Amino acid sequence: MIPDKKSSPVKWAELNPDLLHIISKKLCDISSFICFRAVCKRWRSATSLSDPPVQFPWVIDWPRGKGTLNFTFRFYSINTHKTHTFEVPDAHIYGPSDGRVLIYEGYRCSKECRSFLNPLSWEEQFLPFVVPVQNVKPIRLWRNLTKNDEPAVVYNQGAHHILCSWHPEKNKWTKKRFPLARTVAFYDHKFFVAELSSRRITVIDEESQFEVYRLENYPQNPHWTKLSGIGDLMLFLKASDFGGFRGNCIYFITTRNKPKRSTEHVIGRFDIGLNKTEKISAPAWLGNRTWERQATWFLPTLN
Amino acid sequence: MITLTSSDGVQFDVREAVAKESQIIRDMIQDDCVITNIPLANVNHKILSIVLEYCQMHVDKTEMEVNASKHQTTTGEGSSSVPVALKVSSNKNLNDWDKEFINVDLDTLYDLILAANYLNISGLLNLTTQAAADIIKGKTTEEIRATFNIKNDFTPEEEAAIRKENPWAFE
Repeated sequence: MIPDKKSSPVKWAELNPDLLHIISKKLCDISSFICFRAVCKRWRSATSLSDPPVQFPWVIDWPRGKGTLNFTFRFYSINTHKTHTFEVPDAHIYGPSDGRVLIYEGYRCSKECRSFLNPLSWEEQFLPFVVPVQNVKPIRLWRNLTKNDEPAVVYNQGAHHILCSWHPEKNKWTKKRFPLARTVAFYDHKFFVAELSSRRITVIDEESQFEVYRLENYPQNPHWTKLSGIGDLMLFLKASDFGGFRGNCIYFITTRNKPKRSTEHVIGRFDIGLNKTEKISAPAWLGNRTWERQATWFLPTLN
Repeated sequence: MITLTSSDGVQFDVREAVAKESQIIRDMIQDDCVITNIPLANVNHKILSIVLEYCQMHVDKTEMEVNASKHQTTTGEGSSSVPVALKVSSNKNLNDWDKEFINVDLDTLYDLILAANYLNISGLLNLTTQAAADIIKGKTTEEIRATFNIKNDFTPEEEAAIRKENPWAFE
């Protein structure tokens, strides 16, 4: 660590904008980026909200199931060791997806409605009330998958996932079923992309030991090829994008049984090269896992 | 050997490979192969000596790896795990060395960022800007200003508007 000695006057405030831009691009936590932009006029003008640095996911803790209103989300940043809290009044929370949380608002609206809410910007995107899958829970949203920035929603139905995308020109939803290779894909955010592309990797949890596979020859003759390492990749992203994080590693959240039949959340890091798992420090609130609270990754976005 | 002259007139004799860690010097040498003395108008001797220490270390490590892989090809197959392990350990050592190397005060860090940018040494620019980002991360706006000695030049109204955009980040 560099000691935080006082700098001589002027210097850092007058750093050239290109270099300020390079520094800001290395802030892999959105809250650091926002604080950076609020320092002074020069630092602010060297950056743009529409061009934020690549983000390392937060850990989100959210309430499961129905029964409580006025939910409080907690987000933990491994990068800054800070906790951010957000309140969503009068709604049920289904879970996080694509920088948003899926909420059910049978209480707020006169009739049942579901929406995806970005807790950072408070922007909300409502799903049409009539969707083509019955009795299943929507779990994921993509906004940019289809043309015209129309939404695509993934529903969970037993052993399958169903991807529904909206086609405005036809004025209807289309459905596509996806078989699940295994029930656990490590980094949920990219899971379905892994199914669609021949170059992506999925990761399977074997009691905190990991095997890394690549899906090849999809869809003609799909098969999974085991990999010995993921090079510079981390969570399917370039590790070099994240200062302070180690490459060729899988960051994961799992649960561990504690005495007295309770369960705790554990954030860990599996180093593929060293074949070693280590625990990452986390705040106390993340510790206990109960049936109504559960933790997973959340990729914050300002858009 | 190449002689690099700092802005305050101090001369450094370095191997060509070390000087060539700088893209700008690499281009100069390529354009004019008889060049032996390069004046560097924007880098003083204190900073230049630190920069050259970095270049020297990285050239040495790279050469060690090349030698190790040459050794591997002459000893034939069956030993392929050795160079991989060696590479991992030397990368690890170099990362540790970088970490120790960049443990400098903020004035020096600032000058090193400028020098790395001017001399176009991508590894050093990456290392120094990352060090600056690591100091910034997790700090509040006020803490960043205090650390880097930056004056708040926003009007109270402007600052309030900025905070209103993302109030959660300032809590």
